[in-house]
Amino acid sequence: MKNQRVSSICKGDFYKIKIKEYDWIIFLSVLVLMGASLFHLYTLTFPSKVYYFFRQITWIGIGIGFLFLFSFLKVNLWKKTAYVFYGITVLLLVLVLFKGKGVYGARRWLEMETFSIQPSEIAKLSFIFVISRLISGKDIGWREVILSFGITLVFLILIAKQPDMGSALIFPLLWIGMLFLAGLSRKKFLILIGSILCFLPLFYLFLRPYQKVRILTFLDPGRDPLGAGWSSLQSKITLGSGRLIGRGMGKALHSQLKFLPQPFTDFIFATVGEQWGFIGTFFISGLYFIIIFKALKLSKNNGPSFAGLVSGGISMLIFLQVFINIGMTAGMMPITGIPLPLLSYGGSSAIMFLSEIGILFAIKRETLASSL
Amino acid sequence: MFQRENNLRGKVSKKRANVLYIFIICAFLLLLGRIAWLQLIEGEKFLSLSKNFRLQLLPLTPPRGRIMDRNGEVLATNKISFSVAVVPSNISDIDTLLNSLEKIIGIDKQKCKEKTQQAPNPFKPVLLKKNVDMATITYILEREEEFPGTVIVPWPVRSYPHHFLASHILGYLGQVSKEELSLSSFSNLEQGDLVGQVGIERIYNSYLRGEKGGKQVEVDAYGRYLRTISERSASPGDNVYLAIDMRMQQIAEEELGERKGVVILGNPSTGEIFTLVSHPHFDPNLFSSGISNEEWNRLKQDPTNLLENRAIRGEYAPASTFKVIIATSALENKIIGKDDTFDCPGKLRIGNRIFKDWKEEGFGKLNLEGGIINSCDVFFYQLGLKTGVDKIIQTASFFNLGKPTGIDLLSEKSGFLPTPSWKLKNRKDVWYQGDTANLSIGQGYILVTPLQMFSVISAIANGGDLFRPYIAKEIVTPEGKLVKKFLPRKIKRIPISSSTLTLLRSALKGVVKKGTGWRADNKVVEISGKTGTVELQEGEKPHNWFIGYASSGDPSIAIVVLVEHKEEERAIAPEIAGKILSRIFASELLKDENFIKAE
Repeated sequence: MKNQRVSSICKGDFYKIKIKEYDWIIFLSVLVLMGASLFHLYTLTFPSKVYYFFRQITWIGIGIGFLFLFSFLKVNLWKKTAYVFYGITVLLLVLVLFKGKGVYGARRWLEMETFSIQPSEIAKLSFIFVISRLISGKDIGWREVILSFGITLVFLILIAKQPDMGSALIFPLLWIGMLFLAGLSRKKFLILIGSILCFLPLFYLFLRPYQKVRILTFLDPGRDPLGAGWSSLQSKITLGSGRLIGRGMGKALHSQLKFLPQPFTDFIFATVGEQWGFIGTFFISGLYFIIIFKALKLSKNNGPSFAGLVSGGISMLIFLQVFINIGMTAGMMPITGIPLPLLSYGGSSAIMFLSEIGILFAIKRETLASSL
Repeated sequence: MFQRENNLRGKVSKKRANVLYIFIICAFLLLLGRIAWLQLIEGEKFLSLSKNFRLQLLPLTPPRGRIMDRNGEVLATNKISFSVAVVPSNISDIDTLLNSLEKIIGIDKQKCKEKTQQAPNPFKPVLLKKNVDMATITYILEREEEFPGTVIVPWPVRSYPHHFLASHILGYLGQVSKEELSLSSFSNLEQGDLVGQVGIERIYNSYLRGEKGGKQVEVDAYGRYLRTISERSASPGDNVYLAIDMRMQQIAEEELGERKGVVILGNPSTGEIFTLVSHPHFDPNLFSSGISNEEWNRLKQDPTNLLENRAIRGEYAPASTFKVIIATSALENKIIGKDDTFDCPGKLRIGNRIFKDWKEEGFGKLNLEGGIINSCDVFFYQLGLKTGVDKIIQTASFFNLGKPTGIDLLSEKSGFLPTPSWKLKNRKDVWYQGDTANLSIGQGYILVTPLQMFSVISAIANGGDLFRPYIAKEIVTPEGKLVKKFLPRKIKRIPISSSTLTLLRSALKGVVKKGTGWRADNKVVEISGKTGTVELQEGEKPHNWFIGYASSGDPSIAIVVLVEHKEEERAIAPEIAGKILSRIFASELLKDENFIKAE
């Protein structure tokens, strides 16, 4: 079997699957998160907006398809196509700036006939691939640092222009994390962090007025009780009112009464807290923790190879999104539009999350195969 | 060797992964700690806040900036009106409440119920009735317990103390439209907010509106105020001072009377507008507390177009006032000299058409000055044909005809300058000699706005400079700090020689002394100017123009009067101009400090 190399890309890039090669712990966590997502969407949208619930079912169905597809694909395929994929993503991001659909004044979605896609979500995965390809399996010199910084900057600027400052800021954080994981020498790493800290104040100048307001409101919530401060206060009340065991299944009173803006997208975690209390929030956070932890373990096993950096990148990406979103819900972070992976309503985000899980499975199998 | 190095890197990478483990564990502990704090320790507080959540969000609307004339006379200000509103979250029984409210303020119960139940934010008062009188308000306030959930919202209402006077300059307020809400300049507005729709209210809206504030308050079960949780005060809007002089505006409106038309008065050497009358007009107070649909439709569909500012949006043929341009063009292009004459027998044959003069018997031989004084059509047919359409249009565009003047009012029209190539393209016909003849007496395709003619006559009065007409002089904070000062802006110097100017001015003086504009002549002030009568279709009464300036001493006021479809047999426009200017110069108006300073 092993020696039979098939020349065509299609067949050669696929695996034969064995059920036991799946990471069942990750898979179970994902399934429970999926169930939680659908459950909360249903309680929040029934009966008037149940449409969102059915759409999310569709997204998750498509996402699961991607999960299995990607778990069959060889990791090397992503390495080969990393730059092409990057190019396509940049094109999509440029396109969205000109043709994008605006929601709340930002152009983040590319409209198709019946749905719209959010290129910034795709960009996250594409970013992990291209950076991994660039810095894997070799010593990282300043050349790699500067090249990968260029790649980061392109995404940062294109997405910040939508404007989606929250998503945009994920890229530099991911970049630093991946350089760190890939073993950038301590000296270079410190120089890098130092120079970033020097340029940070400059960045504030480029923010849009409402983004400045959000940051200032975060620092002083009483500043703008009608705007961002209101969401933050409502989110805390919703979350806190669940106490230890919650107000009961389906009793998301504060969220249902529309006190909380966007209860099923950005602030869904608050609703979890309201219904299930600390037990629920602990459980859901635990599931994310398991996924993040297992992905990072995969990375550790693979070292600074392409597969290792991709799994590390995915781990950090999920971590950043979860931390920023829950932190925002708990009033620890400024309000940004970063969804909670899989739990928040949204097609692009759910599909990309499930795809990432699929890639993790492929990496896991490759690791198993090579260790045999 | 390579293998070893790779191993080394692998080790570093493993160490790094371990650091990340610790980092992520710490981050999750931090998150869980925070959540535990909110849910376990503060949980009771949040639960009771959520259960008895009786918070209200009260927007604090800033007072809109005032509008004053050049002497500080208030033209637009605010007064307080009271509205009755309900806070959906504080209502115990909506039907009972609406029933008892219906009895005292007369509301549409069904509509109000829908409005209340569909409110996006249940802590935000929903307005049921605006402009409720003081007695009813007192009655409700005294019996607060009978109306749980009801609040009285004091509401600043825009007020225009002079009502109809200068309404086209000031404009009015209306609810912000959906399209406007998506604009960045309206970013901090909400649906239902009032913004300037036209006029000064519109163009300086961003200065006038001020900055909104808000107050989050806790109330008891009856909706009574308990305490303020947080507050951000509103900052009032800036005041706008206009170049308008309300006393002159008053005089001009009185003299124009009930006629439809336009009067513009201004400083020819700066472009400051002292008076801008467009009649018929409207009362902007109508819009202040929300205008009903029927009323709005009635105003919009009014056959007299009373919402249109004719001074900047009315496009008319300039008629004989255009002869000033023809004369300038001919003189500057050396087509005619001071003493050259044309024969004016009362009619002229061009091609196979007879072009008549307004005076059938004709004038005999006339030089240019005589031609202008008598506004002799036959003289100008010949002069115009000799000058040629291209040169005429060139001179007209030196005066920026066909272009908006750039006044600080929105949607100004630009009039129209016809050219032979335009006619060929749009009318599929060549430019005939007859077209040039028509153009020479300001008829035919050409269109101008009264404000454009104000710029033209101002340029002749001031010696050839074209100024941008402007209405606002200063924007000042409520504390009196200067925000913005508008200075005269010279657009360009018109290429016109002093000999041309001297001849024109002497001719324009003659028009009033002994020519067609004699009705403007008076004992108080010497006036120079030019008349015009716009001939319309059969059966329609003609429009009547007068453009001119007060010429005793330094020219200090330029004037444009246009009367649409004049009822009188006589030339009414110069008569009105004469009356206005003599009243202004007879009074002490121009001796005010404000005018001396303006010079």
